[in-house]
This record gives sequence, structure tokens and C-alpha cells, in this order.
Amino acid sequence: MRMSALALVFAVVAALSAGLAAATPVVANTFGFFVYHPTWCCPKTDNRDVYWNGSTLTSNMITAADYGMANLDYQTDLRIGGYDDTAGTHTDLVMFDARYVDYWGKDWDGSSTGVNITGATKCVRVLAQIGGEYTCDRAELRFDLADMNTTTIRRKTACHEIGHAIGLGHTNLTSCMKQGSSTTQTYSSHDRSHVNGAW
Amino acid sequence: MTVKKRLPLVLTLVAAVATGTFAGAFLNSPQPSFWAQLRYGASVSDGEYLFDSVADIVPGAPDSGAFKAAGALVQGAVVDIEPGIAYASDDGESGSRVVAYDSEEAAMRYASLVVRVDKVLAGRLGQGYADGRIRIRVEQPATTTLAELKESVGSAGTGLMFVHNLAERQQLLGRPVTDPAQLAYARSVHTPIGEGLFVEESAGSPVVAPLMDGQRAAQLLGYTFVSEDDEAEPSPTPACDDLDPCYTPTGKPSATATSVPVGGAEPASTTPPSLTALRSTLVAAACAEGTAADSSSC
Repeated sequence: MRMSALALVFAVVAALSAGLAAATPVVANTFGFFVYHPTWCCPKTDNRDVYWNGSTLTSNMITAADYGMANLDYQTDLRIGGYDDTAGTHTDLVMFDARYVDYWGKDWDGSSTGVNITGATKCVRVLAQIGGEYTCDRAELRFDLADMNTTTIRRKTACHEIGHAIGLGHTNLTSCMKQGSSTTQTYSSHDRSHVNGAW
Repeated sequence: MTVKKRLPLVLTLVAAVATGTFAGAFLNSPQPSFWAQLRYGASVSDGEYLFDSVADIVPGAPDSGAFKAAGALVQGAVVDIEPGIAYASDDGESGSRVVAYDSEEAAMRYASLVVRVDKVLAGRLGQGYADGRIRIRVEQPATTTLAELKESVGSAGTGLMFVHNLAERQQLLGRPVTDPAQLAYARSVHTPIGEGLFVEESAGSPVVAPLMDGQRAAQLLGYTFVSEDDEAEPSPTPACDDLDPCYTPTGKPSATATSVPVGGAEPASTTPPSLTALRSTLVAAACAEGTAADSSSC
């Protein structure tokens, strides 16, 4: 089969352009981090198979973390690659809990910031991809045991911080990604469309 | 000439066009502003708000027991940014290990904004206020470098800043800094209080609150936050029962849904106030607390 070189060039360029258009958000949104269309939060996870570790979590919190990861697997196209007994180089999410006071220089009880922190997520290994999009190779999730009093709040917070770790930002919708004392422990259809659109 | 023979030429052309497309995308994109770079990509902390109004941060505002007002309210301009302090990651709860700012071990970095203080509007500045300048600690996101931030510092504009010297604040909270290295740092910097940095990036432009979540800024400044996520969604399904009780608040006081924004009872705008309008509101609040630096402005 033969094809003119010019036609081939146009076909490849068109495919590349289509790919670029799909990869570039039209407006800022609450998923992922693209340097020229930044959102409040967060670099998306760098691969579809998510490996995690929570080997030092307290028993109640690891149950909630298990729930959160299973929910992520159930609700989205991301797949739980597995649980790593120890955090290795390919571990994507590492979870910790403690009664934090000023860990990482943060004001966990809110006496300065005005936010009593229940959980925090930080991408500690950021990857810059071509086209200005950042992804996250390793995120750390921390839960303040002083606030993890019930199953509901543990699950909600696990769902929320895992959401940040994979790239979701806050929302007004009925979702665990809502800020404050919401009790929802699952992602909204809007959250899912963000995640599944990327994977 | 066959396709096979033309392949190198084709690949060269494709590479050139693709490279040009990517380069064009970058060249045509505006450089993110200083605050955009600083705000986005930082860590995310979640929890409950402990105050309802900017009046609660103003120096002299009553102590709620869970939250203490700022030591000072200043008007000033960000003129530089410097390395501050960095922490490593580990599993300890007693505190994270301090590491060199440029260490590969650093998981969390706080840079210091160098702020030229144009006026202390309320309260007083603490240690570290010298030559008309203070340093304010802010998290440096992993998605930007100090060099990039320095390059864009000209777009930082001027702002109203609620601050407290870090060492004095920790002392006030009953958690004095004792480690000598951290004490030297804490004495040299002011920390933002209530995430209260309100900035005008250019003269007359609406105020931005780069340390706050967008909805929180809207609540405090009295305007309606508009997001593309504000679309209809099915009503919530109850997520709690006897086996899985609903969340009950901790003993710490929290902000209520019926907050009192600075905008008063007027219908909320979708635009933040100007810096001038916000300054008037905050100075009036400081006057009410008796902490305004210039009593003639009350």
C-alpha cells in the first residue's frame, strides 16, 4: 500500500494536534495541574495503577484507608495496583497518622491559620511532563488522629485526601471532596468524570 | 520515491511541526503571575474553619479559645523572596526534621516573602521587623522554583497582611520554640494569620487571597464564588446510620454556616472588593477593637 508523504504528514500532525487539544484544559477546573491553566489543586497521579502503603497507620485508620482505596477502585477507572508492605520506589500513596501539632511546620489545631486541620496531602515527588502538565509520582497523606473520631469522618477524610492525591480539588457538590463537616464518603459523578476522562 | 524512502523526511517534518506546535503553545501562553505560581501546587490541608469573619483576625479581636487574632495588620508590597526553612518526611509525630533548603530530602519548603511595610494599620510587628521590612513565611510549591518566583515578583503587587512573629506567636500559644536553629528562624519571620493575605496585583484590580481556598475567600470577603463545578447534582444520600454515625464536631469551636462577611446584607457580588474598600473595613474593625495604629482614621 502506498500513501503520499504529504498526506502522511498531515495525518500525523492532525493526530498530534488532536492529542494536544484533548490534553489542554479549556478552562481551569478541579482536576490535575497544568502550569498555564493552574487550579487550586493538585498534580494528578502519574499512572493508572495506584500502589499504596499505610504500614504505620493505626488500626481504625487503616480500615478507613482500605475503604478509601477500594472506593477509588470501584468508582473510577483508576486501578489499585496493590498494597506495598513497605513504601518502595513505585509506591504512589503513602499514608500516615498521628496526633500532629506542628508537623511539616503546619498549624494542625488551627490556632494561627484558623483551620483546624483534619488531613493534609502533599505531592512529595512532582514530575513535569511535556506540555506543562505536572503529575505526581509520590503523594503523602496525613491524618490528624485528634479529629478522626468516628468511622464516618475517617472514611470521609480518607476519600477526600486520596482524591487530592490523585488530582481532585475541592467542590461544592455532594462529594467527599467537599470541604468542612460533610459526611459524604464517595466521589460525585463530576469527580469521576474528571478522573475517568484522564485515564 | 517510496514511502519507505521518504520516511526520514516525513519524520523530520513531523518532528519540526510538532516541536513548533509545543513551542508555540508555550510562547503564546502568558507567564503565570507570582501569586498563581505560589498558590497552586502547594500542599492541601483540609479541616474546619475556626472563625467566621475577617473582623475575627484583626489585632485585638477577642480570643475564641481556639483561635487568636493577628499581632499586626500591615499594608505593604512583596519585593523579594528568599529561602526559609525546609522539613523532611518521616513517620514521627513529635515534629519533622529540619533539612537544608535545597536538600533532596526536603518534602516541605517554606520560603520567606520579603515585604516592604508601607504602613502598620493595626497592632504591632514583632522581632524580625527591620529596615522597614518583614519576612512572611509561605509554602513554596514543588511545581515552581525560587528563581521563577523571583523573576515574577514584580507582579506581586501590594496587599493587606495579617501577620504575627512566629516565635512570639508560638510563645503566646504555649508552644515556645526551643530548638536553637528553629528559634532563630522563628524570630526572623512573621507568619500569616487566618490565611489573611489580601493582595491587589495591579492598581484597582479586585483583591485576591492567595493563601485561601476560593470559596473561603468569597465567604470572608462577601462575594459569591463562581466555579465551573457549580452545577446541579442529585440531592445527597444519607451517609450515616446507627452502625456508621454521622460526623460529630470535635470540642474545638468551628465556623458556622451563618457567617458574617464584610459585605454586609447587600446582595453579594461575584467580584471581590477593591483593596481600598477592604482596607476601610479592616481599619474600622481595628478601630472598634482599639488597636488601629492611627486613631485619627477612626
